[in-house]
Amino acid sequence: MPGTGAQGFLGVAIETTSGTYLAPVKFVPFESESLQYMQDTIWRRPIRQSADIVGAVDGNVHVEGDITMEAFEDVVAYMLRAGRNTYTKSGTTPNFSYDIVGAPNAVPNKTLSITVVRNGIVFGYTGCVINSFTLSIEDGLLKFNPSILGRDEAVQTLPTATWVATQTPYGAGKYSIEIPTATQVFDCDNFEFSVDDSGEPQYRLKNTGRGAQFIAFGERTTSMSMARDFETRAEYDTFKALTAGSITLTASKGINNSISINMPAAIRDTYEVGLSGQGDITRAQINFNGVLDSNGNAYKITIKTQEDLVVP
Amino acid sequence: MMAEVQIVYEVKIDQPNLPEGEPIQIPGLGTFENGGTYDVSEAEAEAYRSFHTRQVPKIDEETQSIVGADVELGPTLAQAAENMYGVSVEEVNKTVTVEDDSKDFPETEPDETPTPVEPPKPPVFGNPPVENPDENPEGSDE
Repeated sequence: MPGTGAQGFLGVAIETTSGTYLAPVKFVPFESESLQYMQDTIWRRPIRQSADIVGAVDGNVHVEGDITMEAFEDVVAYMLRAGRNTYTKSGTTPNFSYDIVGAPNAVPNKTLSITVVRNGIVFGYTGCVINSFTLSIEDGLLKFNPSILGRDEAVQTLPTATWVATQTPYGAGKYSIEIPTATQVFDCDNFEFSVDDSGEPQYRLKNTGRGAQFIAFGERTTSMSMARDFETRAEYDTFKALTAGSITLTASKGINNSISINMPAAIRDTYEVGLSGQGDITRAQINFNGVLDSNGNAYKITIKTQEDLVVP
Repeated sequence: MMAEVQIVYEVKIDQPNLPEGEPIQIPGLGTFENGGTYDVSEAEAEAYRSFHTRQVPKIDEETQSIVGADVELGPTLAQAAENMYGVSVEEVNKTVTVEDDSKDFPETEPDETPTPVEPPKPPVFGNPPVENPDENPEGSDE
């Protein structure tokens, strides 16, 4: 029977062996997803007195797509475990802290099995990594949008979901933005932070399926953007001078539940200020690029949660 | 008032990624604290299956088109728990006595002369029928 998205659900598990499916251990409330099985089918067009496609030959396959969700600290911690980063856990039950900084490795340390159930039908995506992600604030709501690359897909046993009943998103009044770090400002909105690791599926000759052998990362771009009320030339001058500064945004629901994003050496890439209309507030749209700081980090995300990440 | 309740399952919640006492929701069954063990009554178990009822398409063999749907009860709690992370279900057969709160409302004396209720009129589709067509036959000029 036809179904709606309301019947669907999505769960993740950190894989023991990359590409080998594991049933979900964490179910993720989300708004939309677009994970797809991508086939590079070879459509045959040999010349043999015909103008039509003669047939199809198996091509390489991989998985790609995006997930849009409210940012929950426990879910973000899970998903970013399959990113290209160095992941440090501290704390004891019930409160844990995870520090996540970019790493230069070609492949992630861990991959995810992502299970999507659409109208009761199970799709098991394996070898999934976080190719890029954004954390943004839209109308006061903190959102997390990971972009996924994976190795393969197969049907799996239908899991039964359970949900953490206390998950609450970050809304208005939960944010502190510091420009520079340690100096809170109150003139800012339209915040977005993104990391793009330029992942690409890598195919190798084999007889064990058509899926990508692994996902390799390329150059990383760490960026941030926001709008601020334009009041002085001070920041504009730092833009012209390419002055690096630290910026921190913290979304907090309490001392042990927060997501903090730090770009320790942010340089303004563009600074746009204009007069857009008689009644418009004069604002600046600023885009930053994150460059390495003295510790070798272009960004650091600190997540505080009660989730004790299950890493096989 | 006390009542006897048939218990058919014992559910244990053990999700090691979450702290003890964290509320875990099992759709169709309820919210439970992590680390806890709970009794599930026969009625709750049936409600769980009903919650997970799904529609199965009825397909016409000749035209291969969907002509309707059958309703199929969801899996039993024991079946579902086989693929449920951090939840184990054991079948039990015991009876417990609980407080029956279904009769908390004060009983009222029944009214000796019940008010007659007029039966509802059937719905009318299209033009209302003519009560006696012979009184004003179609085509009459009078």
